[in-house]
Amino acid sequence: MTSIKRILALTSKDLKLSLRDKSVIFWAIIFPIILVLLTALVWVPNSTQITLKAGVYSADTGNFSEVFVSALNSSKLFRVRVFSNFSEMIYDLSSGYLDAAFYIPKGFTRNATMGFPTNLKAYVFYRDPTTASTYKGIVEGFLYRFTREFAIRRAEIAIKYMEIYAGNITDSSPYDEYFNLSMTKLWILGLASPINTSVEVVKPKNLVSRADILGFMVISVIGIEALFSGLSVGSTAVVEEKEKGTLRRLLASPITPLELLAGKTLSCLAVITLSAIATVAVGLGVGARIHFNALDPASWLAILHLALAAIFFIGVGLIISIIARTSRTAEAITMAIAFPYMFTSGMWWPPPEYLPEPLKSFALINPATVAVDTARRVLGYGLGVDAILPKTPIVIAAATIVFIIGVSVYKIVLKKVLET
Amino acid sequence: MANALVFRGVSKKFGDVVALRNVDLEIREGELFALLGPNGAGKTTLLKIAVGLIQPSSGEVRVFDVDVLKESAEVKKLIGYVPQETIVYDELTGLENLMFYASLYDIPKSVAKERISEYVKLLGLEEYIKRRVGKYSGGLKKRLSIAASLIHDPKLLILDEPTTGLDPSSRRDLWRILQNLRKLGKTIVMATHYTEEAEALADRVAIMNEGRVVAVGTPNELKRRVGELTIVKIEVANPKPELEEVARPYSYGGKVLIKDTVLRMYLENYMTQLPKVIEGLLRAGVKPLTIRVSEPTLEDVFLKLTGRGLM
Repeated sequence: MTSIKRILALTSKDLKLSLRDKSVIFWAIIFPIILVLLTALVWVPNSTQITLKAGVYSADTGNFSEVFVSALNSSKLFRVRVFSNFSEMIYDLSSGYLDAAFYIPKGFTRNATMGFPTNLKAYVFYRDPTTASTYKGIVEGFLYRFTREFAIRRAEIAIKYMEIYAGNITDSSPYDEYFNLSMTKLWILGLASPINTSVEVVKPKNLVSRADILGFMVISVIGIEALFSGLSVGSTAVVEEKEKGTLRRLLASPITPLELLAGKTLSCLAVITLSAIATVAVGLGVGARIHFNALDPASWLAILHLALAAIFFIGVGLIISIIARTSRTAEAITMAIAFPYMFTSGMWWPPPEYLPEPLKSFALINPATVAVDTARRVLGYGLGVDAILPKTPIVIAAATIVFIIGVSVYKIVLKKVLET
Repeated sequence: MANALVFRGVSKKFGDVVALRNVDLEIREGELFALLGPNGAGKTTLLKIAVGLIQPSSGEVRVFDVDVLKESAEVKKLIGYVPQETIVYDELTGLENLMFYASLYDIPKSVAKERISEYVKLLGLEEYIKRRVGKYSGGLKKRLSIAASLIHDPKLLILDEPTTGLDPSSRRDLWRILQNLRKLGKTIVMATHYTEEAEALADRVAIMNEGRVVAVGTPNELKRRVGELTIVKIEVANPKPELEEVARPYSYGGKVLIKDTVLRMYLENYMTQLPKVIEGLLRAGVKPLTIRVSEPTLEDVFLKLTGRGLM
């Protein structure tokens, strides 16, 4: 009987136990699928156009306020609701029913049409710093464009009147080569719009579509699965068999403690593989693109990185097992670590570049984040071997070191358990 | 007859706690041997050392003349071990459990299936073997655990408190199974704290107390150690704290055991001494309800040797 056969027998047994355990099915299959669906439906929706719910209250009785509302609607940036009461509009805004609100003061039409300065007040709901900033940008952008268009219209009207009433100024003006009708028209238009600006959004070369973003997130979900499964398997490696009553019997057979651990590690990787297949299948179903190419070494390196991330977390789980005396405690510790880790490590969302310091710096050197991040850059963005290979030695070294420390702790825990 | 299991000068310490003190024991091939003692006597520790789960602080252990410490892997093939807990997985069927344990040893599938069929029949598991173990009763789980420990056809079967937690009917079933296994030539070593179990099943018994083996022999040999004493059990209506004090002067060696309302004592000549005991009890205001005179049991042996009860 070779050691390999015994390990495979243990792996097969553990896999059967896992697939018959409803909680494992939830965490290994349902949970990642939920994450992918949430990603597709909520965080990466089909349309990238943002539409704000906007309220408008007009104290003005003229028709120019209607022009403004019409401009809001036709911009497609706002879904407009007209209020007859200012307080009611502000109440809805502060309650979060509106994203933005516009107050048109009395005399708005008169001042605007007479060519006088006029006021218009906008409000933005503070949902959180990021969205408030985004909403503010959208409103300011709209108001800038509206004001500019309005200024140009005014200038055009001014030019029209000038042509009628400023008879001394013609294209062949005797006064100055710059003081003629054409130049004056341009000068007036320049007053209305001194600098024509434009801003273009440039996406990363390979991140050009929703499919790529979804692909990136699908690989992140596999990383998260490695996090949860790895910590869980590592932290319960001893106590689970102890609680089932099978530990002593297993170790009274020719199985060595290391073979037992190898069996558990392989079954964990098998569960993650099944989870990954389900995750990718659902991801593809909702439109993700996975850049896997069997002939490209980068694709296989990415898979290796994900497996190493799982081994890294099994090692961390084994270290945790020294303080977890029951599988319930182990699971509780796993959850307490995994959930905050998911949002602060850069493995899920936000990615490392969006994390605040010092989390960002930590994410950039955290081998698990590096492993998952490089894998998703290859399989999600479609980057090549250059994007992953330089990081592979670091990931291998970190996973090996943490796993070896975990094995040492495992041996201590096992000895303690057998002696009780 | 060759020795199946030998302990020579085995001691075990857990920190400052001494679990075993210089244990010497020889268990012969083909016998059913019981380690009898209360909880904490060191029975489980001794069995764990025999199986190779823990190492002794000092001493030597040999299984069929193979050194447990030096050739642990070889010894594991010779031993079938049934710990106190059930060793089977609730989520698997009985058959899957047995096939799994078979796969841990070098057993070809066809041989494993043959053995499973044989042991399933012997242990009365035919009806249940394809069901998930989670639906088994405690007795069935224990039987399946024994089958799982026999799957590699070991010469020595070690059972730690096999009947603890079982109902009387399941316990009797298990006794019958163990007797059948002995008839098949297996050497069986079991730890128990039930004297009636050791008396009914064991060819020889080792009595353990506080990490020491205090006596070894057949049940009859051990009972003879109680000598010509007569066991007297007096059930009283109103046990009083002074009951022990009243009875002690009459009992051999001053050894008296009180369990609930029953007083147990040892008399050298009960014809003359018993009336005095009754008189003493009545004088102390204790009313005897029933009086039983009997032969000694292993519990009496334990009491005589250690001065305390088993339970």
